[in-house]
Amino acid sequence: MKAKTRRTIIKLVIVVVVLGAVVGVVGWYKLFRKVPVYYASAEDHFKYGSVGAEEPTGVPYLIWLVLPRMFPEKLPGPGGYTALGAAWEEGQELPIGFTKMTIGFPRVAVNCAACHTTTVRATPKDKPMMFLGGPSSRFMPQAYLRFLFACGSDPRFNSDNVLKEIDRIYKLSWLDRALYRYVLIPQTKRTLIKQQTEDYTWMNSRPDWGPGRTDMNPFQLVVMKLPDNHTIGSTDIMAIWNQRAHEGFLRHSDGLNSTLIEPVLSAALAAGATRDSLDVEGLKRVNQWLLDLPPAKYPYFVDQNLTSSGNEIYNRECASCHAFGGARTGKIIPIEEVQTDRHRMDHWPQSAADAFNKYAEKYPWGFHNFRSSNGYVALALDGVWARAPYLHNGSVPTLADLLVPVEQRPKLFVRGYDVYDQERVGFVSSGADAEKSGFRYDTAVIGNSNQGHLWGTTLSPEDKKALIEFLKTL
Amino acid sequence: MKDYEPPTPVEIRERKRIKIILLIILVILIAIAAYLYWAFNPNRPVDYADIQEHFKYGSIGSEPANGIPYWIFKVLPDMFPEKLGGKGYAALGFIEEPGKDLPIGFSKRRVIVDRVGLNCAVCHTGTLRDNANSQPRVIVGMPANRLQLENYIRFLSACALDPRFTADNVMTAIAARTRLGPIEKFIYRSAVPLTREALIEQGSRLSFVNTRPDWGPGRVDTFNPYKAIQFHWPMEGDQSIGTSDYPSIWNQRPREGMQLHWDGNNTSVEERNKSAALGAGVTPATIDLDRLKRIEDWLLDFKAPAYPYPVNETVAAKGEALYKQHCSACHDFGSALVGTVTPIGKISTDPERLDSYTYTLAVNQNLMYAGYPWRFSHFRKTNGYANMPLDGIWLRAPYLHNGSVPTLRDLLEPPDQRPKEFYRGYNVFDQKNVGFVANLAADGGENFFKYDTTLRGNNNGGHIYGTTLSAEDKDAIVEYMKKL
Amino acid sequence: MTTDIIFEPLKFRNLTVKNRIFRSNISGRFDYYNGVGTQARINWEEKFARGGVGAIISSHVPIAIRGRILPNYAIIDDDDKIPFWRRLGDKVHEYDCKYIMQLSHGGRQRDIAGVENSFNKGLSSTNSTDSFHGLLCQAMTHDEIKMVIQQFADGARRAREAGLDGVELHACNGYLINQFLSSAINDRKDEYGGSLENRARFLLEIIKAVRNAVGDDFHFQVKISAVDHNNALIFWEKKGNTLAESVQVCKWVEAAGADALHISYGSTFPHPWNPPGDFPIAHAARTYGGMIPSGIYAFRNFLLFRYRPLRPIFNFLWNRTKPEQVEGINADEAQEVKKNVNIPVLVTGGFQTASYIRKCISEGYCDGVAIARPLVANNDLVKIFAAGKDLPDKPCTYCNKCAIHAIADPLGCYELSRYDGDYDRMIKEIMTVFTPA
Repeated sequence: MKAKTRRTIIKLVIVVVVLGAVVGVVGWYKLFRKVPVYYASAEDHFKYGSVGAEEPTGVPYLIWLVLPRMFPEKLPGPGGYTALGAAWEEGQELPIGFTKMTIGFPRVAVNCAACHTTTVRATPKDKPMMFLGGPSSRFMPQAYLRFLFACGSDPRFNSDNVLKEIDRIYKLSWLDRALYRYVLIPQTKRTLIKQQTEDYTWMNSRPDWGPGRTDMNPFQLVVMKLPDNHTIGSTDIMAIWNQRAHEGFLRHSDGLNSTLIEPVLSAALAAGATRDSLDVEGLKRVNQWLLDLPPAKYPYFVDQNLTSSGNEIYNRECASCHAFGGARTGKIIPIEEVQTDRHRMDHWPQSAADAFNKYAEKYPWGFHNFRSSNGYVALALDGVWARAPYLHNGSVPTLADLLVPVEQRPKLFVRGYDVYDQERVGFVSSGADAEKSGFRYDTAVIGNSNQGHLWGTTLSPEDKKALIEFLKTL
Repeated sequence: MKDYEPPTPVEIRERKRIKIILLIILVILIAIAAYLYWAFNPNRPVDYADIQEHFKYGSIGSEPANGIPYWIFKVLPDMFPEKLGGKGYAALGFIEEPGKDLPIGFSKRRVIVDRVGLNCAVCHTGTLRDNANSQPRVIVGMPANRLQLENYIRFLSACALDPRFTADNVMTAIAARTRLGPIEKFIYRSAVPLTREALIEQGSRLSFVNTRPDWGPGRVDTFNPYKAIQFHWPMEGDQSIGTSDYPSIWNQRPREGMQLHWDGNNTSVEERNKSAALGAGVTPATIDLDRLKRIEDWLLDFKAPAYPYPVNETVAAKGEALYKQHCSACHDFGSALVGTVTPIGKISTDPERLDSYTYTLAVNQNLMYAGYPWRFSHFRKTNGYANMPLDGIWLRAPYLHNGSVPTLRDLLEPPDQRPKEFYRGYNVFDQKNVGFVANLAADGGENFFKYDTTLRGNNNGGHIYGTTLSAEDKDAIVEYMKKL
Repeated sequence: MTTDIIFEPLKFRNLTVKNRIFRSNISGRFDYYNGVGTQARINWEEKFARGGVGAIISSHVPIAIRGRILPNYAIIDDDDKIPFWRRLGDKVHEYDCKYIMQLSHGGRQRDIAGVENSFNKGLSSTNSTDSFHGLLCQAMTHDEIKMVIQQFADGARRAREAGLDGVELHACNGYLINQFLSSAINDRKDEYGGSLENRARFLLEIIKAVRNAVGDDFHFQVKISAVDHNNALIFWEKKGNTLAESVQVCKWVEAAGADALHISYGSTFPHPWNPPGDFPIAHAARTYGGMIPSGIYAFRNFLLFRYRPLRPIFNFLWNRTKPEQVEGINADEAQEVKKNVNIPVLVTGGFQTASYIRKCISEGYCDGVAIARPLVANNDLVKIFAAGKDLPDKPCTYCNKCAIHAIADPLGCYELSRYDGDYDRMIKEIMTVFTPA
């Protein structure tokens, strides 16, 4: 009797253990198995390689695929993810800056290149040229987040509907189907709603970023989860090429860090990675590659007759702050002197810097060099033609506009249109075509002021023209 | 070890019996499942041994996602005869061969119930007649010169929106044609509202085509419906017109690597085929690659039919020399420029079709068949129209990508002397000018489609090569081109 | 008043009974589990003796535990049971009533075999399972046949030693001897199967052994089914023995030395013809549960009884062949037997009308009648007849509730209409077997 019971128990235990093992192995394989992707070329790695954001914040690939088809009305316009301004190479599975990695199942996240790839077109019918490392003037990180959030909180986002849409494009096995139905779709919905209602609620009380801009608040509010200090961190996306030449310069518009690697790692955290998921090796590879990534060369006509006189004017008027080797290049210009919009600078107090320096103490890559400042960095102007709109908040559409007094700079203009204005040097910022696909930038909105940086505004029109022609060549 | 709790004889027997009963139940269940599988096999296409039959009637997988239940398809003309002028599906230019249950280009596959879907042949099989009194000759692989696909879509939408399209009426109409089994009856009854919904949705997604000039027979807008159907893009802001002629699809092997489609947006024959299959209604999940492959393989070396009418060899010989001089460089297999794109600025034909295919669409197409090794990666935005090889060109009228020039002879005239208006949809051959007779508005009780070259997308300008030659030389070139 | 044939004594070769009314075999689970009788059984039999019957034929008295129908039946498998039976006999004799013990072996037909038999199958002529309850069995070996014959002989001897007035062999209703006799059940290939002669061999050998054991001067009768009608309920079964075959058996029985015959019907128990009347399916649903472990079809039957939507299935099968007339259902068959033998013939089957009984006896259908259910309903039926009444005021309704309850409950009349719907009165009446009024 007892023996029989014991036998039964042993049998049961074996069955439970075997079943548990099978469920465990299959579950691990289908949900957690990490399949690293290695790109032989560092450039491809920059464009499509992981920064470690897939595990914490990646969206299941098939869901990511069908969302624009299920909710096209939640995107700014037709065109799937291109409507968010993503740069997409012909033939490539994902837009530049979107990464796909299998952690149990394929997941999609973003990396540095999403924001740091410039697209430029001569005419609206052209295909865009792409310049890696330059600031995107079109990509809308905020619109991407809002699109995902809007999808997640839509009642139509449920397993039935999402699977129906997936069924149209991919034949899932019954097991994957069950996983999507019972785990991935509900979990994705929960995650998106949580992000919308907990992590990113602060966005609702800040000005819209618009294309080509971001807000620094995620560092404090999403990554570090500090209390909201109600500051505005709107900032134009920066160029990150040619870093070896920028060695020793302060980073970010307010110079909050002086190293190369710390801004790279911290940006990856803002892109959705966590301290534990951060792909430090991969990011170091990116960082290494950025050292010698050449700035974009101006692809259009340059009037060589003007450049030499422009060069002279540049040396006289600008070089001390903006040329490599200039006395103040890469250093802080106090707010009283530069007089540009102060919100971005005020956004990063010493307390935030201190908190960030403590944030990853226990990690070998931890931060040590964050700081606060009292002004904005005078940036080197390599590839400046591709870095429009100008000033740290992207409040001035073209170089020509920057060289006029504040009152004459456009108060309302369009951002996010990548057809190039070869005359004014910057992107076309007005007109019907631009308005159709762009974002209306209002300098009256808090944090968007186009004031300050009055250098060069008093030059003669001829000098300005020559100077601008020269700036194309940087 | 001794078993101290043996079962009683009754229990032993009962356990055996239960096993037997379970076994019997299992056998019965298997039998039921086998029957259901046999009767409602979720995927059973009708197959044809003959490759031409397979091309005309075989399945490429369009039925599971976008097929219409067979009997609903059959009874729609019964229920709504007035929408087809009482002529059935033939009114839409579908080709009905004697003894065949479905028109050419329609395949049947059982997905719970038999469903009808489209295949390649619907757009790539045409008919030809020697004169107004002769019987049509069915020619596979040529452009479907009479097919009014837009009107088929409109017909389906109109049926779906008709208040008479109810389960009761459909079942009554089916009952007039056949007797369904009880299970099938039940399935059909529930399939009617689903079909209706799907057709209404399709109609609403494609409603934008009604704001463009009519396609007419033999033409289709390939890539705008792609935007709406595959990607569900809102089309309100998209005014582009992609209407163009169906191409011939024979002789694909030498085309591999060429810039395919009118604007040369893809260089992979295989990818182009899979894209075209999407247009027929397959989805990446339902495409029947094996059966499609059969067609693809056959088309590689399937040659264009030879010109069946007399050719004046003397004139043709003269024409050949002129052709070599004026046409070969762009149009002959093996020439430098064949299968490459001539920029729009140079070719100057109607730009709408080129502009309708956008960079945005091209990169989004990278997600078609995502998750499969054959994911699209060859689509490119181009800036002109591709130089087509001219094999079987005599059957490919009207000419230019938008079918704006009725005959070869007309194409050799300067644009301002090409016909401003002509009629499409007649299949009687014009041996003199090479093309279909295009100056008749009606014949045999059938009205033809008036093609107006002044409408957007219908411009007959551009491609002025050879237009300055003498009339005699032009005739000679045309005579020679019959032999291509 | 002319003499009433009912009240004329019936003379057997070795026994004279004061009238023509016999209490037929019917039993409740009154006794100790181990087969030792109790006062309740004595009380039970006393009711009928007091009521005036000429003789009581006991219920099924197993000659061996393995042949028991239900536990709590008094048995006669050992000499140690003799004192009880003597006490019972003495009590009955007080009323000038004779007591004939029915020696019985259930064979495969063991409704509830009891814990002693949990791991054996019923002994039978065949290995084939009974088709009603699904009771399992095994074909007896020659040694087992010999052993059982001896058990019958021993049982008979003990009955005589207990001072009882006679013995009856239970050779009908689907019990062991019937399982040998019936062509529908007996599928043996040896000398105990096949021809009628072979099938009767077991019975005749028992008769010989019993006669040897009790001597020639002890009353000894045999109860036989006139017709098997083995397919009355389960229609795909074989028909079984015909009347002609049974008459032949009766002749052999007479020749073998039996003193009387007792005619019944059917090769199963219960059988749509025996006990004739209704099948109280709602009551079966309450009592049949205890039989579920007994047979491989018992749970199926239980479901058929228990769930009302299923009941029509069983009712249909049961009523399919059921005769209209209940009283005297076997009278014609008895007459046929009687024509062919010279020993007295008793018959059972719903008798309770004096005039009808009188007619049957006087017209040569039988020599006496054996009554069970009408006597359970009216213990004093004989006295009622004697008082000149043809039928009791509250006659037996042939509802068969008594028989169905007997599986689980104290035996008694469970026909509530006979108690004017007074349930408490009914229970009180039933319980008098334990505490006589």
